[in-house]
Amino acid sequence: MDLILENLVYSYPGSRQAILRGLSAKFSCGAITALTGLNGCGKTTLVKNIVGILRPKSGRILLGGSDLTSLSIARIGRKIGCLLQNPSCQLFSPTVEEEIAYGLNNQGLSRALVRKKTDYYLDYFQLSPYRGRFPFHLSRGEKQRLVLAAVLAMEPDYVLLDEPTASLDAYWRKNLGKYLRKIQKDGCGVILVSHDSDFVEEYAGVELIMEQGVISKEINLADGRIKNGADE
Amino acid sequence: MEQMNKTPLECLDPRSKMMMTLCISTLAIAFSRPVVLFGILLFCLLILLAGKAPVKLFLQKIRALLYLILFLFIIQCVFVREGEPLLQIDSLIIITRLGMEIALSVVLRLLILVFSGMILASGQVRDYLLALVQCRVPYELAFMVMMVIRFIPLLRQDAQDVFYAAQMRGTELEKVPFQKKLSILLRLLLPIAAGALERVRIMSIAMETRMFRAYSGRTYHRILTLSNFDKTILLLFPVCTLAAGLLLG
Repeated sequence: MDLILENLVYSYPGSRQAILRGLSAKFSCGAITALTGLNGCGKTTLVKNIVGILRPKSGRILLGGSDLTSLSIARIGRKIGCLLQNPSCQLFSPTVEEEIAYGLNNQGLSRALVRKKTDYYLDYFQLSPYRGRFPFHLSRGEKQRLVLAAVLAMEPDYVLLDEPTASLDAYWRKNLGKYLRKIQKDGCGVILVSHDSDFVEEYAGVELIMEQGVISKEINLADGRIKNGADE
Repeated sequence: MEQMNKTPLECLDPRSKMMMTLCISTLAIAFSRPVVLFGILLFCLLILLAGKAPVKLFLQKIRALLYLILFLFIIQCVFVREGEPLLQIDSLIIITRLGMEIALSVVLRLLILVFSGMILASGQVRDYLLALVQCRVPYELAFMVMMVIRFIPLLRQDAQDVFYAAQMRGTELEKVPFQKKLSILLRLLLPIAAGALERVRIMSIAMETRMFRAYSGRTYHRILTLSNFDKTILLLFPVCTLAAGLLLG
C-alpha cells in the first residue's frame, strides 16, 4: 500500500507565496524514506498536510488508492501515526500509562489487549518506572520516547516522524533505529523528517531532498543512485 | 525603510490607538440604541479602512466568533417575549420588536468591541509596553499586561496542538455526543494549563537570570514621540466621546 502525493499545493492563509508548489512523491510500505532539506523548505508543512492538520489547496494524497484529503484527522491518524517536532504538544493524559493506552482505547481494542500492548511499549521504551507519573514531569527525551511509544502502539500503516532523534541520546537513537527496522520488516512504511544525516544514512533506504516546495532529488542510499526532480 | 511598508494605522502612536479603542468601546457600552450603535460600528470600520487594516483577513480569523455572535442574536430574538410581536404563528409569538432591538444591540456591541480591538491589534506588544511606561504606569504592571497579551496566541497555539494530537490518536470529535465531547475537552485543558505554568516558570527563571528588577529605574533605547496627528487624536477622541455621551445619552 503506497502513499502517493500528487501535485500538492499549499500556502498559509494570508500569504501569497506557496510553501508546497506542486509537490509529488511516493512512499512505499516496508521502507524507511527520509525527507530532508534546509530549514523553511516546507518539510513540517508537508507533514501537517499528510496527517490532515493542514489541508492542501490542490492535489491529492493517496493511500492504497483512497484520497486522504477529505478524511478527518482521526481517520487519517488510524492509518498514519505522527510524531511532531515538539513532544510536549502531543501529551494530554494524566499518566504515562494512560498516554499510551489512549489511542489503543480509541481503536476499540479489548481492555486486556490494551493492557498487554501498553505494558509492551512501556517496557520497550523503558518507561515502566514512570507509568504512574504525570507526562509533563518527564525530561524532554523521555517525553519524546513516550510520544513515540503512544504513536507506534497504534501500529499504523505508516509512521511519520518529524525530527525523532532531536532529544535522544546515542543509546536511544540506536534503539529507535533498531525499532524502525523492525516495523519496516513488518510492512510499516516509515517517513523520517530529519536533519540528522548520520541517522538518515544508517537507517533510511531512500532520501528525498526538498527544495523550494518540491522534491528536487531522490537518492537511493543503498547504491548512491541519484534521480533529479523526483516529482516528475 | 521599515516605516515605508507600514499601513497608516500601524504608523499611529500606540497611545493614540489605546485612546481610540478606549473611546469607541466606552461608547459601545454607554449606548444601547441599535441606530447609535450601528453608527459607532460604521465609524470604527471607517477608521480601519482608512488605516488600511486587513479587515478581510481579520474576519476570516474570527469566523468562529462571528458564528457565536449570530447564535447570540438568535437566542436574544427568540427568548425575549415582551414587546410588540413581529413574527407570530397563530398565538405563538416568535419574534418581538423589543427582542429584535435587544438582539441587535448585543450583536452590534460585540462587533464594535471586536473591531475596536483590531485597532489595538495593529500595533506591536513592545510598543504598548513603552507607551504604558511613558504614561507613567509602573513598569512591572506594564510588563504583566504585555506578557498576558503575548501569551494569548501561544495558549491558543498550544490548545490547537493538543486538540490535533488527540485527534491524531483516533478521537473523532465531530461524531461523539456533546457530553463526551465536553469531557474530552476538559481533559485536554490539563496539558494546556500545565504547559502554560511550565512556560511561566521557565520565563521567570530567564528573567531572574537577566536581573529583572535589579535596578529601580530602567532606560529605554527608543522613546515614543507624538506626531501632530496623534496629538489631535488624543485631544479630539475624548472630547467627541464626552460630547456624544451628553448629546445622545
